[in-house]
Amino acid sequence: MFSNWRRWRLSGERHTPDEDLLLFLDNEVTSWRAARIRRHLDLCWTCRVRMEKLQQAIHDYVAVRSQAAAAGGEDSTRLQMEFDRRLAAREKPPAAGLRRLRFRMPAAAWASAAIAAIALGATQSVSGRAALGRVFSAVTGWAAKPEPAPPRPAFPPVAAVPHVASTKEAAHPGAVPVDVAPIPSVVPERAITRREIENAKIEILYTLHRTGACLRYPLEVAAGAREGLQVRGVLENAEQKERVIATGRGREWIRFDVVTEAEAIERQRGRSVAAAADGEVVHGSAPAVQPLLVRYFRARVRLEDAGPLIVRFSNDSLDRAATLREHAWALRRLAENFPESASFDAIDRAHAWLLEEMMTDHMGELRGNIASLQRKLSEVFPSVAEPIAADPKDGERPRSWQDAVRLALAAAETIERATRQCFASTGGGQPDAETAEAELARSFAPVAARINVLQALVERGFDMHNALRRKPAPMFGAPDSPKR
Amino acid sequence: MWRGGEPRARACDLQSEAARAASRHFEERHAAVLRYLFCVCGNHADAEELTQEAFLRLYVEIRDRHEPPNVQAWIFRVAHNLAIDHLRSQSDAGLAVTLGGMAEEIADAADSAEQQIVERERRQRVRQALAWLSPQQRQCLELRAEGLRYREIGDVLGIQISSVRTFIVRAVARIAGRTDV
Repeated sequence: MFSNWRRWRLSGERHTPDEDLLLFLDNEVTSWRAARIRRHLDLCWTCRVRMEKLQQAIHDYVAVRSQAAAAGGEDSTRLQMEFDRRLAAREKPPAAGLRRLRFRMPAAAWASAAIAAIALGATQSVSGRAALGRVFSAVTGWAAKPEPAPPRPAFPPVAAVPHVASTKEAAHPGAVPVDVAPIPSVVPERAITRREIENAKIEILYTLHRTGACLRYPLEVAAGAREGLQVRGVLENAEQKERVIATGRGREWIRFDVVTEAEAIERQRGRSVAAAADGEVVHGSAPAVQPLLVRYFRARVRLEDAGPLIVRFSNDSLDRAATLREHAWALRRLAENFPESASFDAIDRAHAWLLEEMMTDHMGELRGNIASLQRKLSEVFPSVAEPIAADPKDGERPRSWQDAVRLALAAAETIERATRQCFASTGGGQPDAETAEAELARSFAPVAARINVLQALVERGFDMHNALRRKPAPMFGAPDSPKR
Repeated sequence: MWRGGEPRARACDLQSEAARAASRHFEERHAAVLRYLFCVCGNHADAEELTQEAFLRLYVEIRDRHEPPNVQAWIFRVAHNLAIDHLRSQSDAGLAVTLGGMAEEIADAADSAEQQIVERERRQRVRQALAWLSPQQRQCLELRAEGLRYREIGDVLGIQISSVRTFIVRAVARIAGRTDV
């Protein structure tokens, strides 16, 4: 994977290879590499033209292909109706299939069966003949009369049986007992295996991941040894809720207590107004680094344009900081669901593939957001980009990938907190520009160090990812898939 | 894509949850699977039959086990394997490459005569390039055009992701008129 990239870097060539450009177009490179290619494309006209040629080739291929497909003239309605008809035929009980099979039996088989029955019937005993007759009638459907059943002992007529009132009837004469207790099943319920629970957990987490609900929405997936799986929390909309619940369809041991944001607000409305209004604190005063921002933007743009640019810069920085924290939270959720004690052997390989994909996605986003935040802030505050000696305690190596994720989350929260402190007023007095700049440098020092540590931690995560890839996990092991 | 009302009503008549799910997946994905199978088989009737068979297998999978986590990749893999088996049973002629020939018979839809000429030449160049592609390069391109990720393509075709990358890069470079990749 890294060979081309490494070759490119070591060879001293200044242009991005075609392969990397195409992978970049297909979003098949990691976020940090994509950011590097994007930076290169910003500067290099040659590579940009080559990339446009590749895009044009894809465009030509898609155009030819879509024309060929249109020429095929598929009739979707007819195909759908045909498929539904076949499905309906497959849904019928197997007995009907056997009946059809019986009438398709060739004439020679019928004759052979009849001759064999007659020949055997002449030599066998009466009971043997009866048994053969039953088999023959079962195969042919002919009306061979079965042996009459032995007479049952005669029961007394219903009217002759004296009525004995139950205790309920005695207590409430005339009342009809309707609440009959269900008959306890003699078949014990099937025990849910740990593998089933772990697989279902991954499927639910993957559904959250695909619907984008793995970020910023609290949802807990708890597994118990006896209780099965419990999913509870808040999702953004009804579609996400429906898709998450659909994941557990057919598995009664998964219980859902999931509400949408609107439903949660509706629930909250019934409670105290103060609790419902407990939202984010809005600061009215200007951010601490406002003088620095003003100085920076006024030096570059017209006076009337500086204000909107400062607002956009602040919001963008805060958004990026919040996004990287959300991805770190999503990784932590994965780590919580699969603690150190859990083994990958307890998961189907197809599900390990899903877990791997989720981790890769979040790690890539985390890395990309850190790089983009650092790049953005360094435009205005060069001190952010300066190398800063890492704190010795930051050099501690995590014991496991779960441990690494926890440290990554702590670092991501530090970054976000520091960014907020820069761009949101803390409510104190307004410092002058020099003081603000000094505070800014101090506040970003740990952030910059944390970014380095976080990158190392994410790389550690990629090591785990690559270790997983050494055992290639097929996506599925469908028994119906024809073997090649 | 199907837009009528009657088949939906029929799908609702299906009794089991598995059948309804299979019908829904068929509605969403059959066009893509059909396109791919047509590319591999080169015959519309065979492609339609194999499409139906692939989705019936999806129904059996959902009914007997559970819905695959990645239905799109699953159905493409089953469809691909069915197509390979079908072609082997038909003859040992190898995989068909049909797209270039099909597009040749289609009338141009460009506005002006100049545009028509330019478009025709461009398409001719693409068709010539496609004729040089190996079956695996074509299959990789087709699956990528259907929206599959490289890893999924590798799983469908049973090849490494690095091979998928190589096939796609060389195929696109060939179409772009470059032969030095």
